[in-house]
Amino acid sequence: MSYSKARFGIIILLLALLAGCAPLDLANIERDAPSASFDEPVGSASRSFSFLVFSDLHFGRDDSGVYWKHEVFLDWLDSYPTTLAFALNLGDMTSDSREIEYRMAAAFLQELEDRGIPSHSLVGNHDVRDGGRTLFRSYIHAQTARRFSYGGISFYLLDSGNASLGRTQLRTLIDQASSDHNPKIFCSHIPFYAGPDMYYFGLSDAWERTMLVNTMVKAKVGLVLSGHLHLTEKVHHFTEENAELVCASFHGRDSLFEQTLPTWYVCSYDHIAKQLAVSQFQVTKEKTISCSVIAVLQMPSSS
Amino acid sequence: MDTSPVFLSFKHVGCIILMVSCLLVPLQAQPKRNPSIRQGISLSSNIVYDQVPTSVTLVTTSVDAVNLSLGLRVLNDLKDLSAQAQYVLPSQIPWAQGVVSTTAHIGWGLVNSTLFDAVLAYAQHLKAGSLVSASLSLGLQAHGSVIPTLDDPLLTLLPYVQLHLRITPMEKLVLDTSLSTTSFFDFSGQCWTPVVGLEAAYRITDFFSVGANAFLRFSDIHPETVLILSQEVGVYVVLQS
Repeated sequence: MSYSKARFGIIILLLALLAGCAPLDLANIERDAPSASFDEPVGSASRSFSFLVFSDLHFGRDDSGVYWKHEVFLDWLDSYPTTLAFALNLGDMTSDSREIEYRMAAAFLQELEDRGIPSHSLVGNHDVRDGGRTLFRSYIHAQTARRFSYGGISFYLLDSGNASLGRTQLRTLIDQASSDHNPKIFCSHIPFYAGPDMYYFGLSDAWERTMLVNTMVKAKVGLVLSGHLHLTEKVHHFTEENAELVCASFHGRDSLFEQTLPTWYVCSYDHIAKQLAVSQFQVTKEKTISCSVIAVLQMPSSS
Repeated sequence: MDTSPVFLSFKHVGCIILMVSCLLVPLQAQPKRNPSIRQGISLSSNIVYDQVPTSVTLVTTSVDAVNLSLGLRVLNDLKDLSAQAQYVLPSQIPWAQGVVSTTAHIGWGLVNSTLFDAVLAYAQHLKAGSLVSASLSLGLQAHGSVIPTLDDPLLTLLPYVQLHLRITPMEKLVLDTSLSTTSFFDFSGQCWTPVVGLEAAYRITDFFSVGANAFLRFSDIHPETVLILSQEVGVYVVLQS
């Protein structure tokens, strides 16, 4: 066997390895996602309340047919008869983690703040590209993952921007959720499961998902709210008291591949019946707003 | 402890199917050539463990045009059992070969849960002399996560893709690289979690080989920022009859 043949073989192998790594941006490989302590204090006083939910604002998205109906939404918000305690923004507020997009998202969230609705935001996969978490911390919140409580329910905001929580965040989440006696809602941009047809849009690692779903059942997590899918909402029931709601996108798009209407949700929690009613609001093509109750979910009781 | 009868049924039925399809059939057929056993030790990390020693055992044999492999990986509490049958299709072209393969996988060891995977794929192998061979496999993967605390298992159907390149720069040295949606023991419930693998094997005698291998599995693909979900670096010996 000649030396030149061996060298030729090794060169071909290296070329193949480079080609194999082409689907990955080597600069964007992380060892573990940012950690989170999830040790913020949580209150247990139970009461009924409503909150706003939206996902995938995608400021800066310039694909064909993309549009926003912020004015229609804000007019709706101004005339909405029920007090909304806060807004949950389920991530992908930017298109490509650019600073201008983060500024637009922050300005939009300020519009809600000006109306007395504080917002809690997650990062999505579009928000963490090229060091996007740094911009998130500058413009949106100092932590990409954390928890808070309202009306006796603990809300866990997860950093799933890498399609995985990573080892450290997963371990901390399981520990903290297990010792928190409130019923809980997990919020994750990337869905945990959402159905057998979700061959791409869910969490990547099957063991990670198994541990998360098992924690949901054991730690009284009644619901995981997620986005990422854009096309439609999906409800999946893991058990009678544990479900997942994948939300449709807040921005609209009228194109060959994606036909979506601007969509948001109001969740109303009845602390006596322990039920969470989810209403969907959509800006129709006729520029009216449709409303329908898409799910009434049974939440676990606090221990 | 495994407590749910439904869960236990799934686990036992899965094991029985694997045993029947991968052990009894080749034993009864009396394999005629090339049975080998490969024992490896690796250092592995995944979503649960960081840098733990791992044992990998792989038994392979051939029955006529069918290549059979059965492997066990023990990664601390996590165990993976995989079985693969490859049927080499008849070919008139010396440099092209079609192969149909089926793979079954069962993984267990965390929160009393079990993961099942089945892959059916067609691979087109191409050879360029004795130096280079390559293959492209396309197929379907069915995944099931059986979690005792849930009412139903989580099922997913997803595409399977593998690109594979083998170089033989010296007579006794074989270098492999691959890009795939799964590895032999590492399966995902989602596609687009690419596994990049690299392997080098050196045949010392006709009956004894040594090798080293490594793989990385990522959480997503470009342009996303990705995590390394699992990685493994190891060495192995192969005894061949």
